[in-house]
Amino acid sequence: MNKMNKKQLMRFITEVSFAMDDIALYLDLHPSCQKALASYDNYKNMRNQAVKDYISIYGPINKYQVNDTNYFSWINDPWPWEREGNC
Amino acid sequence: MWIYEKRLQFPVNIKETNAKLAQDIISQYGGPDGELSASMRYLSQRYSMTDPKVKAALTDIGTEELGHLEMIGTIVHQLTRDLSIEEIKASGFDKYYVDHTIGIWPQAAGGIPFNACEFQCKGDPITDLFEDMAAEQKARSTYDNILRLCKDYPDVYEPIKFLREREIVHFQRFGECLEAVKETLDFKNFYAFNPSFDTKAPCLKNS
Repeated sequence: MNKMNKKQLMRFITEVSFAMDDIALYLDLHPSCQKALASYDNYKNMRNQAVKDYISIYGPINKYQVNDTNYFSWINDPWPWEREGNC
Repeated sequence: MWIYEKRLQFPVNIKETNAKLAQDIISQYGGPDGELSASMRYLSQRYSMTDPKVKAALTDIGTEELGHLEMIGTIVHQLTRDLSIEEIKASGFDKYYVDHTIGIWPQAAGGIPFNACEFQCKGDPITDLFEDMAAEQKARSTYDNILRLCKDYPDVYEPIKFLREREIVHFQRFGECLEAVKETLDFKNFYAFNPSFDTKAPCLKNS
């Protein structure tokens, strides 16, 4: 299981997601760049694992991850603009 | 279709309120070169864009701008959430407060409401991409100005610095978009006609 605490894990998700966002913009204009594609894939794998860990411990970060056991954490856990939000 | 993710693109955690700074920074929420304008501009321009790479870039950058809008909303919210009525009066925030209390509403720093005339969708790929490049530079200048105003407030400075850097990256990408569109046109005269509507220049009498 992931050794990071909630804040650290969200920070990690934020970082790898941003790497993907930035590389994706580059790939839009340079879609055959193998180096960028490999880097995108690498960050995607890191993100997938981190998001999976986060959801299983702390609850969903998008509504497609909501289920019958975690619905209230989607509503009641702090929203990103709030104090103690996911940032 | 969009999917909301319950996080910010870059962390915002402001410990001290500052109604004066909030009044400056709200310009990037609903001002002339703000994030709302940016997002609506790019997402609207997609329908008449010709090059598939550029359609992808407009979609992804327009989506990122929505994330930036949320960051700016968060900054303004955190700068105003615990204000006392004395601070509201002393900072000049009372003008905003009387209409919106401490809700977040899209306006420029000078109080002018958000207006779709702040951006254009001309339906001409070359024209629209020039507008997009100018928009990124105007937003960068606005962030330059905000950085000078908040340099003593690291909680505010860091996310604003991040947003400024994104303007530079987006300018670069839109420059590449423009090159991509030009590649499909007559290199002797890129600007002769609207490539999303005409194949030559029928608006001229003898063509």
